[in-house]
Amino acid sequence: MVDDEAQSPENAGRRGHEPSRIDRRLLEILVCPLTKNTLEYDSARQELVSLSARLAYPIRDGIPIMLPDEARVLEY
Amino acid sequence: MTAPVLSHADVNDAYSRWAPIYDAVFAWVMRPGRVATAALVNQTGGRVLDVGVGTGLELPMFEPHVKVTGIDLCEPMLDIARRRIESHRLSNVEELLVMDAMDLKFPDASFDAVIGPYLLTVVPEPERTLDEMARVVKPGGEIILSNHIGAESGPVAVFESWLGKRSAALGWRPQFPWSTVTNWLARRPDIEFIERRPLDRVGLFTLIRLKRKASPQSEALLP
Repeated sequence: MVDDEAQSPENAGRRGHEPSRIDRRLLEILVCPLTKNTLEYDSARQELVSLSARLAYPIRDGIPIMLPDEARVLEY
Repeated sequence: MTAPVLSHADVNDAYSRWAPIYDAVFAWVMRPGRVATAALVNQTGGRVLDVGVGTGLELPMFEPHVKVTGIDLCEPMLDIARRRIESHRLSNVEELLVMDAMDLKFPDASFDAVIGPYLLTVVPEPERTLDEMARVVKPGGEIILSNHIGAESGPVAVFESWLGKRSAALGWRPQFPWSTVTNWLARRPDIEFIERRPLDRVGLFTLIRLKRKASPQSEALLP
């Protein structure tokens, strides 16, 4: 589920630009807005996942949306 | 003079409307603050957080040794910033993220400098934003702001007062008082005031430099 390199073709940018790689460094310094724990990158769904908060923050056009209101609630 | 009230929704709505024409309207008049900010950051280099990066007008001004992370609340503005990064092939812009300036998702002391070009007039709570900027900058690092500071009196003050009633539609506050910054500084002994400098002859915009003091105590706590 966590993969820094692979990009699935169907997620490769809606507007024809190169999909942004999510930097390993960014994952190290970003924290979940709610729990302050680190996040994991789901390259297939283009989401940054906080397992502790059970939330997935969307990445749209290579831009992570780090707003709790925009996050998807993970199912148990 | 108090700062007029702005909500997140006001700011997001206004800038979603501004995004397509923002550069045409504001690029030129606000260029001096961006140039001055980039010049300061280029001197020191390192990792920089650009709070309210918007359409990324200043991004091509940073030298390659400056590694930039940009955040903004407004996604349509960041879409333009991303296209700018692609067209200028800016490899030193590490990431763009949609994030609330009053609630940064970075751990303490993450950046060598934190900049806010024309930011404080557009955030709902300027002091909370300054707290967050101070939290994520490393001890010894600078907070560099450029902003319109409201006139204290005279015809400009009257005009700004009139314009201030339209803050919600504009998406920013024309009446931003200097006391917002001094009040914040008064309760933050860990922050040093370095400089307040006019950016143009009419005094429309001002550059403000603050520094998080490099206290041995706070450094000892860092890994």
